[in-house]
Amino acid sequence: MAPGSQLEAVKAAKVLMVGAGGIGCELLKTLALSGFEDIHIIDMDTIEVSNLNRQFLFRQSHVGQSKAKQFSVVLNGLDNLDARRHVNRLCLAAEVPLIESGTTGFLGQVTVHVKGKTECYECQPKPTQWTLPQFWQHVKMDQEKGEDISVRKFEVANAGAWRRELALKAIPVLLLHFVHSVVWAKDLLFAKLFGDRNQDNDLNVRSSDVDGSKTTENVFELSPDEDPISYGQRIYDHVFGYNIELALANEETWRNRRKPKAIHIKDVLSEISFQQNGALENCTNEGTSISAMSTLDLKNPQDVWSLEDNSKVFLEALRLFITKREKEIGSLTFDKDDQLAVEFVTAAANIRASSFGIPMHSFFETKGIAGNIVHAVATTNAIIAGLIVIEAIKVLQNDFRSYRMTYCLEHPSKKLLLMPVEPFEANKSCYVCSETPLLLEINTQTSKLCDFVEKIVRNKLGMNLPLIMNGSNLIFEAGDDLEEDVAANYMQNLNKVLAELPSPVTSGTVLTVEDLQQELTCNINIKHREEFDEEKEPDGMVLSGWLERAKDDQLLSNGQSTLLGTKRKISEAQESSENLARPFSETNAANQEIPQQIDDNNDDDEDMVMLDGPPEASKKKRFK
Amino acid sequence: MVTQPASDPGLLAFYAAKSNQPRRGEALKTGIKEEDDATLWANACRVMDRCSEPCRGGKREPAGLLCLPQSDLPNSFLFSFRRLRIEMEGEELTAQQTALYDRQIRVWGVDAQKRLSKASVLVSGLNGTVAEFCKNIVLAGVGSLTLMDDRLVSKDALHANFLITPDDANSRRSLAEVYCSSLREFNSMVHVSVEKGNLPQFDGSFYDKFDVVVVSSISLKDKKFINQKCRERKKRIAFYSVECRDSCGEIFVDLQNYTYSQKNSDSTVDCHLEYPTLEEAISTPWRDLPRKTTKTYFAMRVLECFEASENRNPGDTSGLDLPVVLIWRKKLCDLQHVNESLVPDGLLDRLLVAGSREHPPVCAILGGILGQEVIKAISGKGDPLKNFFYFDAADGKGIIEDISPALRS
Ligand SMILES: [Zn+2]
Repeated sequence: MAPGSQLEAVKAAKVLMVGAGGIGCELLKTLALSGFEDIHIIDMDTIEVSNLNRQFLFRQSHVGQSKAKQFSVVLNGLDNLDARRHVNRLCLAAEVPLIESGTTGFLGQVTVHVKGKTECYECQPKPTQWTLPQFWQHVKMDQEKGEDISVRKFEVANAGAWRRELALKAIPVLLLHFVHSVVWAKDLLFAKLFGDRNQDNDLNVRSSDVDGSKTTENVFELSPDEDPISYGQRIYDHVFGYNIELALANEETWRNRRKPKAIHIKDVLSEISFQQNGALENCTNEGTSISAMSTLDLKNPQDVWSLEDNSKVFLEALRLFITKREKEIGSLTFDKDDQLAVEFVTAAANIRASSFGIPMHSFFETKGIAGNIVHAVATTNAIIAGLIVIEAIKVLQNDFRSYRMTYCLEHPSKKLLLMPVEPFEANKSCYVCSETPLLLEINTQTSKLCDFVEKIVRNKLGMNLPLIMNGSNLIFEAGDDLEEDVAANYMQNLNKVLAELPSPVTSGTVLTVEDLQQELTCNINIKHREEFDEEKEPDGMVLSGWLERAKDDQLLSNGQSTLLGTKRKISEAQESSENLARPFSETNAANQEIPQQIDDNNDDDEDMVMLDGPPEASKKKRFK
Repeated sequence: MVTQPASDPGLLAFYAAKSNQPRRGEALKTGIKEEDDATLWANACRVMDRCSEPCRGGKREPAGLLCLPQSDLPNSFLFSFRRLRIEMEGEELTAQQTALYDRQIRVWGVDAQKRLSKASVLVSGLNGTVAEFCKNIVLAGVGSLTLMDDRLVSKDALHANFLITPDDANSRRSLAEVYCSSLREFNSMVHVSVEKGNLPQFDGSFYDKFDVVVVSSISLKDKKFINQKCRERKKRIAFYSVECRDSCGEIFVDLQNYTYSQKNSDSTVDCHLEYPTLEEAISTPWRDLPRKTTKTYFAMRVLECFEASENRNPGDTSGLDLPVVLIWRKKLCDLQHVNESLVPDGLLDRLLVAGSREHPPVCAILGGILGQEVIKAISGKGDPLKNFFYFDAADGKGIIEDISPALRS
């Protein structure tokens, strides 16, 4: 129980916990033990971001009138960027202090965000959110360059973005190529075979380039008279044999790198094993327990299967999908808890890995990569929960001089395993908590309104229900409750080039973008620009203003702490706290070796967000 | 699918049930996760006395809110942990273990998990910090945990402790017994048991059953004695002590001669650390220590001397003791040839006033760090802490101090 002076503040507090995952469990316990009596929990797994509207944070009788604050403090234990941004904006609008947290493995971080006192969660630009095609394009670029690249962070603009970021974070270099294989198996092959076939997919592009007579659509189609095993063999030979041979035909690609080898089913499995494989009809698999591993008697998920076993699993899983789960084909999306799906992806990724000379991985490891499973240790969550409560008590006492953001490190830095740092001041040009206008360079003659909405409004500004105005003219509005004709009008606008809108958007135009639910309004100055660098500016438009300061600021220029997506290097943040900000009451011995917590992965590609080195890499540095 | 222990809504419910704070109004709300969990919550609501909101039949509600009770819950609430009851099979990790420990295996690997599931931990002296530690290693899947503390559960023990309910406080059961029954519910794959008696009185051979010994709430003399016993055994027994005084905490580690592997991307480097015993460590002349050594280290030594001289239990102090403690400070500082300012009055006063009271967030942090260290020592993975750790909520720092006498030749 908190000692006397704190107890009053704690008892009177009304606390909102957002997220009931690993941190949430620990946090609830520590809050209750610390004497908090009024605790509310909302689990973002259940509640869509868009459902968490401002009513949840504060009651408001009329829009625009003063709000009665409902919560004394909001504590976040969330695991995705979208939800974090949303809660940040709600807290800013309601002027409720926010304590953010995140963990991965042994690393963790707690930050305090109080309007007018500290930076908001979004004051530091967050890593680029990539769409899947962009992600895949970068993977291809890496492959084409033939680089032996270090670990990179690929973020995909979907709900699981943060998970993906974390899942990839700790993956050693060797694994990275296997990650490509998994992405290929899951997002291309699995999607092609079992998902929506009409979706654009690299698999078509690759083979239809050369093979004009037989379209790829036919290849993936199961003919009515075809038995599932022959079909599986045909798919196998197409994706691991034919497609690789096609790729090999382009000599230029392979000049500086190891060539893959085409794999055909007949080279891997003998006739006899096919029959054995196909003879397992009497298996008792039902419903969700359908598993190729169990029919093939592969028990240990930790084992790395041979190429032969992988090929068997590939064929068997495909057969089981066709015979036992026929109805789902065409509408399946990958789910890490779908045993058969993970088996198929493991087998396909391994066969491809084998073709490219990449080490194969177990079902268990593949599941982790494919499912973006976040590394989690209960101890880190417990520590972070303790730190959150300590900060919450300070916030409740309005003791803002002692607010700290704290990093929980795996390796001590200057003797510190738990490193407190003074919170940063708000970024004066933060588009979320300040009113500074943004600048958008865009080709107004070729870019459509829908590109702007998707790439800027949704991806960059993180708005869910945007409303876009050009002066006093409404040009777009998102929502389900629109009149039919209004909605149709917006649809037309979306497909129009900016300069050709009813109220044209050209150089000098100021667009106002609002999300009423988030109580966020941004003004964007439009500047026309003809050309964009495809590789460095893949969006074909550049948003600046809120980024400018970040670029100038040495603190933020290289390295980063990825936990909360802030572009900040732990050691630099620490130095800054000791050099720039008010020093701590006592400084620590400087004669200690400072292990490099975060690697400097400089790269010429600025859009590529670089990642901390894998744990092994940082250890290596230590022992050099 | 087996639910992760750390993010199990059942765990939330457990904490809610076990926390002994009275709540007012519609205090505790939570979202429903999945059908399955929703049913669980609904059942949970049914067993409660004062459920202010009707259950919603396990349906997913967009608002996702259910009410938990304001009063303490009966122990039957713990049924939610039945899902974790999985039998052990042989030496290899079972599929269930793999599934249950999925996330953490991804952090420290299968080998580490196997070693963990074979390790035996002894804990003597139970309090809020130790409760946190026990929970952490039980959730992580240690092989067995043996608890020693014959003190009867009292109202005082309720503070900062989620393993004890007010019902337990009147049960005339020992702390070890109450901890044991609560901890078993966390993870049935872990063998949790009680050993009666006083650890210093046990034979050396008793220690051979354990890989790790953790002590708390015992005198310095006993700590040194137990540390020495661990040293005398043929097998290496890791020794830890932990103390929490309100917002301040201290952990001591003795891993003896410890070799562990550092895995680089292509090779494994063997690292070697030589630890002093507690007695050796604290006999290091203060003048030899770096000037920046945390002041809490010195303050704790002064308090130990004071408590030993008055024959008090650790933490059996109050602000009234300050004048006598200041005399002890002078004695020690003179003996060590250092200025008394090394041990500030304010810090001593804070620790004395705190006594044995623990600040729950600090318990969580110390129990978390200690849990991590024990897992590292068992698994042989990761740099272990050498050899003191300090946390002080006042400055928020978690500091490692290496306090070793000059290397023995
Ligand atoms: Zn901001």
